[in-house]
Amino acid sequence: METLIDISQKQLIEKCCKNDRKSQAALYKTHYQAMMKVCLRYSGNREDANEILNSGFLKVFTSISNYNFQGSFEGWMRKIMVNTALDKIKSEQIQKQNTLVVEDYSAYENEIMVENDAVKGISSEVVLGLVNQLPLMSRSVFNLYVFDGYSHREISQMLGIKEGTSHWHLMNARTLLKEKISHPQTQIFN
Amino acid sequence: MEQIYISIDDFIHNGIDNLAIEMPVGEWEKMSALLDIELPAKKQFKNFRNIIFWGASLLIVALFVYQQWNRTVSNKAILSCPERKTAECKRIVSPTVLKSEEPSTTTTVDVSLKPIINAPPIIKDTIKPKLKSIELPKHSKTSNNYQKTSSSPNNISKNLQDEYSEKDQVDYFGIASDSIIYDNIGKVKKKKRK
Repeated sequence: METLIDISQKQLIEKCCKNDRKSQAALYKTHYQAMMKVCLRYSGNREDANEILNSGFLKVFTSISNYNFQGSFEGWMRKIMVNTALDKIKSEQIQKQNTLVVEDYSAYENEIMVENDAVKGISSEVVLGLVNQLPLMSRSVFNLYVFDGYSHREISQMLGIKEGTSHWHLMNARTLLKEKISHPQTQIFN
Repeated sequence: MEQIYISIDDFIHNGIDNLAIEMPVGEWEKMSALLDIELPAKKQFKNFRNIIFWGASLLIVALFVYQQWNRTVSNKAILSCPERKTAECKRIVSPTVLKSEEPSTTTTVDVSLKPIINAPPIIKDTIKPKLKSIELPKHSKTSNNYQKTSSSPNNISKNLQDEYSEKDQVDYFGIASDSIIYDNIGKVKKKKRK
């Protein structure tokens, strides 16, 4: 069964290489949800997420012939989406000119735990809302580290920041999220 | 009662994973419109590049074929010429073809060095009107200018050389020397002195 799915996906990709609109539509609809989740995590709102998604899919369709059928196609697409989101974040970051440099990050290594009772009943939409309310750089580092599995060294290279700064942003994101979950009424973000 | 703790990372991860997102109506149409703008443009550029490539290739092939055809036609002209060893034939066939097709230089040299008297009638006819049209400088005994400028045969010869290029002299006299011109002028001068 799995092989059949792979074959159909391979055919779909091959047709997309030939610029077949129907196959492109099928691919877009199949992966829309997964890719949208990625974009929503990185962007602060739905509009920005849509922009990133469409830019990402454009890159996917224009460079789909470069995919060599080795490794997961969804993983390949996800990487493109993440890079597109990071490009947008970096351009926004340049405009803001925020320069936080942290050299000693030993204090930011601890993982933060929350009480199970406190998180009960929190829906996925609320969780997404919590992530979206995080400051831009902290949100990006949190997403890259927790969801996409990048190391701090890789994150620092991707975002053009110090490794210590990446540690600080992750800790900051965790702390802010915990505060928000424990005290939902307080406005601690921004 | 003991409290159970959960990692904030895991909690957020699970929360996002369980998120259900539906594709809004008209989303693909937006994407399709974007693709219509971007992808055909790329295709056009590709086509343009292909046209340039194939055009250049065809031009090179056409030039090569034309060169080969031209060479074959010239060969035929030389072979079909009944008197191809004579000067007439040499005149018909262009010098470049002669050079490339008949590497034996002996015949070419022979023809070019033949005196005018022995040249075929066509060459004679072409030389005659040319000789008539040569204007000798008018001279008088009192004219100092003539004495200065045109008295010596060498000067006259020079004037003629200026008027007719070296190539013309070779073509019409058969040789590239000043001797024939000098002789002709010498005769004229003698008559005038009498």
